Formats: sequence, C-alpha cells, structure tokens
Amino acid sequence: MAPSAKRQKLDNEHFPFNLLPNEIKSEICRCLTLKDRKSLGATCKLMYRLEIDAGGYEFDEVVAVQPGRRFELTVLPSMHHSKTLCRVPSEMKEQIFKQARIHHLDFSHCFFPPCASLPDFLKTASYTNIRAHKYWKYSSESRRLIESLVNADNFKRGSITLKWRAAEGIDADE
Amino acid sequence: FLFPIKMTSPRMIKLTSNDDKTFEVERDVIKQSVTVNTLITDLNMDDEDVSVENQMAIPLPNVDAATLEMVITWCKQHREDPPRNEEEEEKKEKRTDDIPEWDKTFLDVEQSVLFALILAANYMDIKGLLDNCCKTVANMIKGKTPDEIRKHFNIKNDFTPEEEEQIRKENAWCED
Repeated sequence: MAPSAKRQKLDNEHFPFNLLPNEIKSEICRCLTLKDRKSLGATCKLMYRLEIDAGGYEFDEVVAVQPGRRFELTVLPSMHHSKTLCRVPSEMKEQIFKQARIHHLDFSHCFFPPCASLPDFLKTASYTNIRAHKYWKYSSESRRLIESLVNADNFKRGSITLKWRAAEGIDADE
Repeated sequence: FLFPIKMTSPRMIKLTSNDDKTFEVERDVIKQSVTVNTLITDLNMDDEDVSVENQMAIPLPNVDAATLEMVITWCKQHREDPPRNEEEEEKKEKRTDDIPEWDKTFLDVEQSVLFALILAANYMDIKGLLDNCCKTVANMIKGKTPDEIRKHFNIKNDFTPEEEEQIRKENAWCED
C-alpha cells in the first residue's frame, strides 16, 4: 500500500496505538505515572503484559545482592512497586530474603503507598529504618499500613518509635 | 596582512523518501538520526571531494515525503541541542510535562501524522524526537480511565469479566 493511501486510511479520530511497535508502547508506558500506567494496562491483555514489563526491569538488581550483605531497598519513582514487590514470584522473594537482610526500606520517592498485599511480603524481612513519601501523611490508611510493618516481630533489636513528621514523611529510628 | 578565507558551504546530504522525493539536508542537521549518520559513515559519504550533485541519495524506504519533511524541520530546530547521554536519560525519571513549547506546537498534529512521525523517528533512530512523540501520546492517556483510553485509542477489550475484576482488585490500591 502506498504510504499516502495508508495515511488516509488511518482513522484520525483514534490514535492507532495498537499499530505501534511493542517497544514504543513500552516506552510510552514508561512515561506514565503509576496510576495512568495501571489504567493503560487494564485496557487489554497486550497492554497488561507490557505494563508489567515496563515497570519490572530494575528488579534483577535486587536479586543480585550478595549473601549477608547489608542491603537497602529503595523504591525509585520509575520503579513501581506493584511489579517490583507485589508481583515478584514468591520463590524470588524467598531467594532475596535468604540472601540479604533489608535494613532500610525507603519509599520516600514513591508517591503511592504500598498496596494491601505488601505487608505479607514485607513481614519476612527485618528493618532498622523505614521511610515513606511525605504525601502519605494525608492518608490514615497508608499510615496504618506502615505502622503495621513496624511491629515488634519485624524488628529484632530494641524497640522502634515511629515519628510522623509533618513534612518529611516518617522515620523509624532505633 | 589579509589572508584569503576559504568559504566552505555546509556539507549537504541527499535523502530520498519512499515516494521518491529527494531532500537536501545539511550534514550537521541530519546527524541527529543515528540511522542516517551510520549510513553516511559506513558509505564513506563524508568525502569532501564528492559534490552533492554527484552524491548518492540515501533511501529511506520507511518514511514518506511529508513525514520526512517534518523530521528535517524538527532536526533543524534541534541542531544545537547538546548530545544526549543515553545512560543518563535511562536513569532519569520520565516526565511528560517537560516537552519544549516549540515541540508541543510542532507535535500538535492529526493523529495519523503523529503516528507516522513516531514510526519515522523510530526507524531513523532520532531519540529526542521519539521521546517527545512518546510523551505526547502519554499525555493523551493521562487521567483517563481504562474505558476512556480504549475509546480514545480504539483498543478492543479482550479481558473476560472475571479477569477485569481481578485487575480492578490488583489496581485498587493506587486509585484515589
């Protein structure tokens, strides 16, 4: 088909998203905020798969930690924890927590609070420090979620005091 | 003393679209296309002894004339841009609110034109243009529900009601 004919055939009311190569769809996915990406992922099966792939590439680095090494898990803005934490296969989670003790759990760059399934995953680890995004102070649910992570069982040494700070998120210091 | 100054005109490169229209474009302008740049180097076309008249035109079989003209316009506008550090770009948080004003206006085109530009930028490997096109499409998605996105992009919903419900549950935590 001649390109000009193809051009005319394209429907100008709808951007032909499905005709884009998958790598470009993924690139577009990576430009989106988590909420918008989730919405795009919920449109069809292909986008669901691409959305998961677009958020998960950093996770390999987490698996590569050395046994016994002090380890800090930081949730970066581009690293959406729904993939990196919740959707990680359980055998991978096990591998990670056998290999390394997570001392610092840093969500301070992450606009969205962890999802409901996160506590189960996190209960297998122990921390000395948890940081959250300052936005979370507005959500009592998020606050409860973080508080539930910082229960006595999770912290092996001493007691933890949670300080809810007005502008800086939270610090859990020994 | 007056020394004769050799006036050198800018090196020109010929590009031919898939509908057989040939464009002459400055070497410095089209260097933003990795695909064309590689071809120029591989084909030893930087030889200054070959005049533009005798020069072979680089065929671009995936790009039509109208799109190529737009690509060249974009490259001219961005010829002074500092070279991109792809490693740094990868690390950076992707945003969609940092499209330069000129690009915003330039990319405010019919959907089919934007689509052709994305494919051309991808084929010609012009990262800056591709990036801004992708951000423009991302901005069309912003704030829309899955159903609105489907309508906007004519995407067919191939989930079963059960699968849809499952995804709704998975995503519930990031809803407002």
